[in-house]
Amino acid sequence: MEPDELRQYFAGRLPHRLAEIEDACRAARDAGWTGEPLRTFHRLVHSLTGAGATFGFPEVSEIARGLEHLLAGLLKRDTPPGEPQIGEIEDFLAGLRPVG
Amino acid sequence: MAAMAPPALKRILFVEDDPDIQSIATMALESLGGFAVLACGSGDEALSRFAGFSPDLVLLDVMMPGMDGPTTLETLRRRPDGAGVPVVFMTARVQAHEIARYREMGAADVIAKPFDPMTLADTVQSIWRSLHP
Repeated sequence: MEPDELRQYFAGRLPHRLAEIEDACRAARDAGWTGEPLRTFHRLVHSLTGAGATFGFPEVSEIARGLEHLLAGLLKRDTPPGEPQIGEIEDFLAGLRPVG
Repeated sequence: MAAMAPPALKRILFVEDDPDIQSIATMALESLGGFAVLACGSGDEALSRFAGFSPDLVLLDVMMPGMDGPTTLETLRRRPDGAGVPVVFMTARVQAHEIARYREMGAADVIAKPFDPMTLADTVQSIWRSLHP
């Protein structure tokens, strides 16, 4: 078990994980950014934050952490995001796509 | 009179919903630590398989869908066979007040996420030794 092998393994898993997150984002948006769909979106992004760092992808972890904090704020306030925050969510996802 | 040796850590029940983290941690604990690991993807699965595996130690993710880590621990503690087994939380939330809260819940210790797969087995072994001075 070498660090390069870990990175290679996770690189192969990233497209699937990012697709899952994009799906969860769409579901959260369709649900009005509330309830279980938003919690699922947040949980998947939270997992990516940890997994990225564990497998040697700090850049993935950093972007995911920013999105995670934004989503945690939405969950805490229980209010839908405004246009600027929706733009931020899209920016975070756009930042993740090239690494996936 | 010689001091009695601490019991050896052999069997670890690892509860983690992220499949990639589950794979890498299981591999690390088995190949680098020599432990027997049963990996479960949810609190429900862990509780249903607990008795059959009879672990020495439980590593428990905090944030999981369905039954989260604290609820899983609480449920385990109400069972006669789960009341005494050491449970170690694995979480990214490791501020002092959060660790204090996990200990109040009955956690023996906390491993911070992200963890280093290369040193995870050593960390777990150190925690085990600290529980059996």
